[in-house]
Amino acid sequence: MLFLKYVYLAIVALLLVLILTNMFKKDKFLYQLDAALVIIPLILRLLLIK
Amino acid sequence: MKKYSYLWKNILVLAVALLFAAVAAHDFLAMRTPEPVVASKGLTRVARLSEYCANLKGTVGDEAVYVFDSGVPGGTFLVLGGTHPNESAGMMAAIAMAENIEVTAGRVFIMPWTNTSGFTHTSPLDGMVDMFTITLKDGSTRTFRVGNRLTNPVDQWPDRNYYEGTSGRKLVGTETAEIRNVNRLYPGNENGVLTEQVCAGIKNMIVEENVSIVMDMHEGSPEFYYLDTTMAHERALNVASLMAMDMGMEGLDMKAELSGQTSYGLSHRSLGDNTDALMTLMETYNPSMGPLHGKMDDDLIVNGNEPNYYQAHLDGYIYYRVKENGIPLIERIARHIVCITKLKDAYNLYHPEAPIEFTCLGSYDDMMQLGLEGVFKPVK
Repeated sequence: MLFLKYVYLAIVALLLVLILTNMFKKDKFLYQLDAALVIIPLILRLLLIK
Repeated sequence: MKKYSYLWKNILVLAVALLFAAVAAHDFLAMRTPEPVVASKGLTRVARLSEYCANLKGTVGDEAVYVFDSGVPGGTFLVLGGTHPNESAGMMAAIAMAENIEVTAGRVFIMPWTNTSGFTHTSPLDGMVDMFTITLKDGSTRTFRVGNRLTNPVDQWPDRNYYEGTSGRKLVGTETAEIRNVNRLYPGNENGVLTEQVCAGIKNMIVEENVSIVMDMHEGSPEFYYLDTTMAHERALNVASLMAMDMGMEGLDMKAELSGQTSYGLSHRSLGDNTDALMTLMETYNPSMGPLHGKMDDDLIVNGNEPNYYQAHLDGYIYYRVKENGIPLIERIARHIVCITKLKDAYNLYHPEAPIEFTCLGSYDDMMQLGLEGVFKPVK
């Protein structure tokens, strides 16, 4: 079952990269804020903090 | 030029997000630091659970076991606190014992954080507090964590869709998360998931150290039927019954119940079936665990005063006799410690060949007089 954890973390990392890429393409502040809110839990999960 | 300006805005927003993540991380990581224990002079050593289950070495499950060895031959009493980290009195009673116990015959093993991982997170969306603070006599403070009854998913994940434990317990449907519940996986599996390894470590410790009697301290929501009750494996029922009568004679409600034959995976059933120890488990009232409680704060945890539950009791919806001013933490801690002391006395009557003798904080009334501020020692 442990491999599933690493698959999950890889998905989290991929999602984080995609959101960051998308965030840097947007010029509207609300879109950027939207992305920033999603980034916070993803970082905590990727680092296995929460 | 326009691209250049929004790039800086992006970087600024990202920096703010990282700042929030850092603050949140600081809070979450703070829950990984165990409470200090100012152990009594009788402390012989602090053992680790990995001594009994090698696979736990280097994991969060390599838990502390406070060993008090009198040096006088006798039996061994194992005290488990913090099996469910949201049931505060269990951990608090274990720490209070480790700080005040004097063992004069046999040995006493104390585990304040039986599910260490569970202390590192709270229940999402439950409005939980992660810590609470008490003030001691000298004005100093002690802070204790309120965790989750299950192992942190950061340490053990994913939960299987189907699981059959070494006890024969099957976890399916809504029960699958219980694969992270220490008190469902006994006798454990040394090569299983983290929680199973912890259970296997405890079972091996009981066998290798020839533990005579075990108390697993719990709390329940006010709706729970078995409050102020000690569940006992059939081999421990006479000792538990004697303890309950003894407590009753001092005006402390206590019932002794026979462990269910199909309570697979629970300590009182599966450790009793798989070791020679006399297995017991006790529950006290904890209003912060029930769905009717109001705001979750230090006051609710320390003073145990929840008017909703008092009203529910008056209206006949709660079987348990809820007091108007609540049931404070010190009262629940005192109940656990008195229960353990009287269990020891009852055990000694049945097993004079391997006695266990200790004193800890005196009587129930003594502890109520001391209060939380007197039961715990200042940390220097």
